[in-house]
Amino acid sequence: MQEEKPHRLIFGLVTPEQVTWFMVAWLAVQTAVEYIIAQVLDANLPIMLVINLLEAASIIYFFQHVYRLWRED
Amino acid sequence: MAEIAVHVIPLPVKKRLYQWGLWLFFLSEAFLFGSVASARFFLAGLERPHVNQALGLAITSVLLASSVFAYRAEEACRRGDRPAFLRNLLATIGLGLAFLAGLGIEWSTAEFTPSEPYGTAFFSMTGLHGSHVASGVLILLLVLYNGQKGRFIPTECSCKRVWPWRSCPHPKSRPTWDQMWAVEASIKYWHFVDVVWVFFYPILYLMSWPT
Repeated sequence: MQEEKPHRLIFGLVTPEQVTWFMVAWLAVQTAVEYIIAQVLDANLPIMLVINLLEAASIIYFFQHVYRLWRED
Repeated sequence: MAEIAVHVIPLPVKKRLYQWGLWLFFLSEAFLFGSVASARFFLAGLERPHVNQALGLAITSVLLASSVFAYRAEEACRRGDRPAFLRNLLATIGLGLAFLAGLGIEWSTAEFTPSEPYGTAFFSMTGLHGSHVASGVLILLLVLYNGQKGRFIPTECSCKRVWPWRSCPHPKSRPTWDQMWAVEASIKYWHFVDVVWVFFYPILYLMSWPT
């Protein structure tokens, strides 16, 4: 049986519930913001790029646990 | 008597190899998706064509929600909570199928044909991504099947009660890393497909830069 030590993520998140609710809010806000920006702004390419990089980075970090690649077990 | 040398890879090294192998696979896939995405700008420029914005937003929300459930399924498996694992995995698969259904509607109602420049890009990108979602659903169905057979969380609770829709209140038996890896890798793949759509959605539906 393997016991994993609780790992403190950025923003002080520790439990799966905290990560779940943070990500639900974060992804919802980002998706809504990019949708609204696209409807009101024609020249939106740079803003979209920044939003999508943040969105992708949050999924890679919180859901795909990329930090585990460098973590010593 | 002949001796056979058996080389056993230590677990920490094995973990590293598996993890890095998976991430290198994601990197190679990223190049594939990146080349198709860049072709969209080459073929159709930087203008936003007329697409169904509401449907695009809906299928994006569905795919993002599926990633949240996939994360919860992985965490439930990690702590040995089998009902929660299966429940969340089922929700992920259902949302993946809903995404594919939405894509099907988009394809059947599109106002452009594959022979037009934007149509070529749109059908190539959504087709390539959709095939990855479909393969992800198949992989998750395999995980669900094996999960129901008790492959990942093998020990049943000693109370012998059936708890199909809620967690048994007794202490859980957690899976080992070897048992957990198939679940972890499949769900990481699902998240990767989600990350790809995070870029494909604005490229196809939202981005514009007047020339």
